[in-house]
Amino acid sequence: MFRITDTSSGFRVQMSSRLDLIDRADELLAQRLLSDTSNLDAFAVRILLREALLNAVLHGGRQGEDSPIDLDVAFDADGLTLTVADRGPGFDWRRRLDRLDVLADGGRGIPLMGIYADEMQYDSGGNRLTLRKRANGAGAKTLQRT
Amino acid sequence: MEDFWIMAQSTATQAPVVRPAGTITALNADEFRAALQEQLADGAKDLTIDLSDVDLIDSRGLAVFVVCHQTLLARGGTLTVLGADANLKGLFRVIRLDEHFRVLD
Repeated sequence: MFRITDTSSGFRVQMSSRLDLIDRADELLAQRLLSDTSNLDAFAVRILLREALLNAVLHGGRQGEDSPIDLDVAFDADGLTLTVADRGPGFDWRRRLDRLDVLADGGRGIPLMGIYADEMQYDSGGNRLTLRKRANGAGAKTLQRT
Repeated sequence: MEDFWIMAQSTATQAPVVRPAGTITALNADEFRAALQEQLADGAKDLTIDLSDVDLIDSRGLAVFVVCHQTLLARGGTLTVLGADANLKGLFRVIRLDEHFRVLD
């Protein structure tokens, strides 16, 4: 499943929890960014989209049709807001934001989003993520040493 | 989205070079890891990954670079990444991997 709905500010996608559909969402966003006239950092936005969806696919419940993921992409005059919601149990995302062993096997997804987003917020349940990227916003931060 | 593919070359006198193309992500990270392992199978101490045709790497893709670096480090060798554009160089910098292996233009 990959259902696209245009909205007044962008688009929504309801998608199955599958890795290959992340590529499709990225492609869709990349197309929309081509017509965006603000000065959004396309690379940063694509990283945010991919990591948010990857986290939802890998940790947001069972992969497949029965655990859909909702993506909302909203453009405005100052930038872009991405919202990704999954049906998983959620988790304590703050604990993982800045704590990364640089040479660990994994655990880079949430720190990467924290680095590239201007604002990042999970809901209290930890399964609805909102990322804000401002046009002309600050550049990517650098991971703090642990 | 550009399809993912990998080209590798190895000679008797030079360190192997692996040149992936497209986007290195969770979807193809295993394929990328296997291509690197194939080049390292004969005990090579050094390896170069040419990113001239790569436009983005996600967190799972970055993990493959870490594994490769650790393998070469254990052999007393080095990983070199070259051909990275400004975005990819920035990515290796902000996640601090450029402090562990060389990332070149």
